[in-house]
Amino acid sequence: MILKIEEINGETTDIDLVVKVTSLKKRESQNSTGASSIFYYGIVGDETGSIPFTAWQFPQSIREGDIVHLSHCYTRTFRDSLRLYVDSRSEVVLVPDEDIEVKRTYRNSTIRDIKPGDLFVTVEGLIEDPIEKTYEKDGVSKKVLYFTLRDETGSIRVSSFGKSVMANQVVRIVGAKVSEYRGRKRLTIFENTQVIPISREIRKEAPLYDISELSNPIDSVGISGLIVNLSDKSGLMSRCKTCRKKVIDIKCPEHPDDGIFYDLFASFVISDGTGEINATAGASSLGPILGITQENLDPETSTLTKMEVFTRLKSTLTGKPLYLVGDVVRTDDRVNFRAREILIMNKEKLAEVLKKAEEGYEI
Amino acid sequence: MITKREVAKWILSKELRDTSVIEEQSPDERGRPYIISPMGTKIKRVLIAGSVASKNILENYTKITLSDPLGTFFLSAFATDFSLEVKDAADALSVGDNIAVVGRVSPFKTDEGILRISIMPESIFSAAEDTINYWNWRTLFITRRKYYAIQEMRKREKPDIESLVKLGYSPEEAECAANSLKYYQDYNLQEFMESLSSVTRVSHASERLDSLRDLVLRVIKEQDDGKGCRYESLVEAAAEENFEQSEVDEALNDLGSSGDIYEVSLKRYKII
Repeated sequence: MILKIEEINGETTDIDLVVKVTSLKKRESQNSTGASSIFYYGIVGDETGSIPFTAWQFPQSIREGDIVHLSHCYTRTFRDSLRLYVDSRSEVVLVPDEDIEVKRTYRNSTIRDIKPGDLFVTVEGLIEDPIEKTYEKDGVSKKVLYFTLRDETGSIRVSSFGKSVMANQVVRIVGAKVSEYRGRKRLTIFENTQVIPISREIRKEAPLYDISELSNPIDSVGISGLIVNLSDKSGLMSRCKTCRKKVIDIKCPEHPDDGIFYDLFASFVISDGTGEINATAGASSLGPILGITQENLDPETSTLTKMEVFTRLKSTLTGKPLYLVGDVVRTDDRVNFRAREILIMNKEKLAEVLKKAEEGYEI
Repeated sequence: MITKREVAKWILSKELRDTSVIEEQSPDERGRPYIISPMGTKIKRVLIAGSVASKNILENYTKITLSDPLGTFFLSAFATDFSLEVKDAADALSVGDNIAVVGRVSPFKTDEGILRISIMPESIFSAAEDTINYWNWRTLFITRRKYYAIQEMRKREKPDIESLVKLGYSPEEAECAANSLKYYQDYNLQEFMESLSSVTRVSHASERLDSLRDLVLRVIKEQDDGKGCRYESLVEAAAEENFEQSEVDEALNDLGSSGDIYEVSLKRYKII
């Protein structure tokens, strides 16, 4: 029996569908023995919805926009979303002279709940820090707008191609594409994405999380905790003025004549009792609490030593209840925290954080 | 292969003291086994905080007892090649110092078969009063959550971790609940939870004293006629806020010791 996409109920086998191929890509992969194979992936859809697919075998004649009859396929959950699989037992037959009006399905999501496996989502948030840039495509100059979208659960970077937005506007974005880039989640807005101004209050405050809740990338969130381990790599480091890479010797091997500058860096493990997370911090968050200014980091005039900065870091940060605001980033198979702001909690902040943590549980 | 660092668990001394289970290891497992506490927490490493109650420097190691609101932890800092820095830090401590400690648990059974657990510190940090309050509250909060998870698990015919996670408990809390039911069926959880209320009382007492200290400082500043603020004025102002005279005396002693005020003449106080 031919099913509609909305009728697919969880993981199932032997599915027949007539669908439109809305996107189709090819990739080469290597197995553990080094043998390579080609597989296809993309999105198929019908009047009732869309679903991502992976095909281990797929007719080369099929193109994006074609209507196909897929039979003997199966579904499995992959990266938190349901995926259709086409294997050697499946049949893919072109259905000529047909067209289907594909319904795009956009899951309503908070920024926290956006998963890399989502194709498109509907999300609401406050627009912050829009920056317009131009780029060249096929010899034509085009504009792209980058901004941050914030809701009560965190924030996410957004790239908008062809849609303009205003700072401090609260909008509903319908059909934004989800991706993950350098360990951070991103949204992309295209011509057919809707951006609708709405009336809703969103506070510009980082939500507080327990460390155990941080399993996916998200920007602008708060955590509290005590440092369990401060890496001895922390402290003062030299960077190339041109490429900003860490310089171990006196000069950057790639830009030996361009000079260096001093930078602050800390790598530590922080724990709040529910879990631990590796965190890093740079000069913008460490400088204020260490009392080190940009002028102190000028190699021409600085009297700072590596040992002195490490000792100051250790005595300032360890054994103190800390409140950090920053971004959760995926590196390999785990998440790390990049602190943008570090605060040593006083009594008032402590009371606020402890109260918030208890309120956060709805049991 | 990257070995994942063993997470340091935040637990109160009573939870560690009442622990009687060492997890069985299969023959091919390496390293020390986990101990399993009455709240079901699987522990190899802990993060604890409190006040140094005693210190005893011996030839090869230093013994420390550390007080939290429910009792004491026993710490042994050995002088090995890898831990000389920690041994030095332990030797430098004084009774009454507030510290936070990350350390590995070291269980051993007495001849009577009773499990004793000491902690081998890996790092010792000097801790501010706010750190102790933070640790107390967080540990209390985490322990209470585990208790609620255990109660929820008890309602089920058999342990079902997934159903607890669906209710909003973290996977670790749900696993703790299953462990507690498996290993500590006869443990008096109710009594344990009642003892937690003393942590709340200690914290409330500390908050009350903080607020009285602020009041005393404000009144001294406002009512200093040049000869200092009168003791009676302080007692009157404090009584309006429902503080006892004995509490005012305690706050004055405290502020005097911390160098915030001084007694300029008999029962007259000035801000430093």
